[in-house]
Amino acid sequence: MKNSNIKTVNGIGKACSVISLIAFIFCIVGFVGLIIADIAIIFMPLDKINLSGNADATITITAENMNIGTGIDTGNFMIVGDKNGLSIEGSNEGISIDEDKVDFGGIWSLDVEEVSSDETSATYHLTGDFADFNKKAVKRELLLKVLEATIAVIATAVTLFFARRVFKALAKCETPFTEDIVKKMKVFGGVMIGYGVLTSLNLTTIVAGLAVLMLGYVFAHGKNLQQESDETL
Amino acid sequence: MSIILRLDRVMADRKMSLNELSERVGVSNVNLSKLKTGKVSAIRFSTLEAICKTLNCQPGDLLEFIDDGGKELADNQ
Repeated sequence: MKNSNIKTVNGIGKACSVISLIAFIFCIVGFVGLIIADIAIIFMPLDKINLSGNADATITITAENMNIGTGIDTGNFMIVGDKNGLSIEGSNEGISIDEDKVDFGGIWSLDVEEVSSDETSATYHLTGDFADFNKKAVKRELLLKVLEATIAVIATAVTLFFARRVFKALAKCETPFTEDIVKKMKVFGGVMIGYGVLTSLNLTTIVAGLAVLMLGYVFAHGKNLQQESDETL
Repeated sequence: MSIILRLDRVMADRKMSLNELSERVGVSNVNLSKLKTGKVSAIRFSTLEAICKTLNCQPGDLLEFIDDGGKELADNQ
């Protein structure tokens, strides 16, 4: 006769097992889709990559902001104009700027036109055509992003697989303090920590993984107590 | 283990079968068998009491200590 606590453990284990199975199936579908996308990108001819659109910006430096500077904030970096002309601030890796061009690591460039410039003011006109994007670089970036997503999906699927092993064992156990559950729990904890490290050091996942690992050791102690109780008549 | 259970000896003295003892003590056949063969590591006072009551004996009649140097006890610590 199972007591109510074990029945609850079985019930929650069953629910988690079903949820993790659904999530696992989604991961597999996503994985297949991403693999197809990876292959499609690898074999995509460069002339099929077509970008259209224009970038158009004007930086006007007046007497008021001549010293502090004014500019365009792109989120990652700023194109700033002040009394010394144009410069890049922020994450400017690979970006170079000169009198008539802003070059983004050879991937794309903006043409700079000095409309007017005198002692107290200056106006710069920046224009760029998206069609000028280096298609090889675009393809590489695209492939990198999709590969990154593929690895993330694989890691999630592996974690879910090990999670489900624990849930399945808990769904039908008579007592959770068995060697089988302890082992599966420790492995799941380890995998979860690995997943946290892999997904750009996700602290929440790492701490959760450590908690599962710790519970594994708590259950190992519980298993010893269970054995002692079982051997007592 | 240096503590030996002499349940089989007392049962033979009282001419009581394992099944009868099991029924009267309320401990399953399998568990009594384990007790007889010394495959348990501990016994509850309540179980000991029930067995003593049924077999009309003292705990000392059931348990025997043989000094084997306490090797196992030392191993467990």
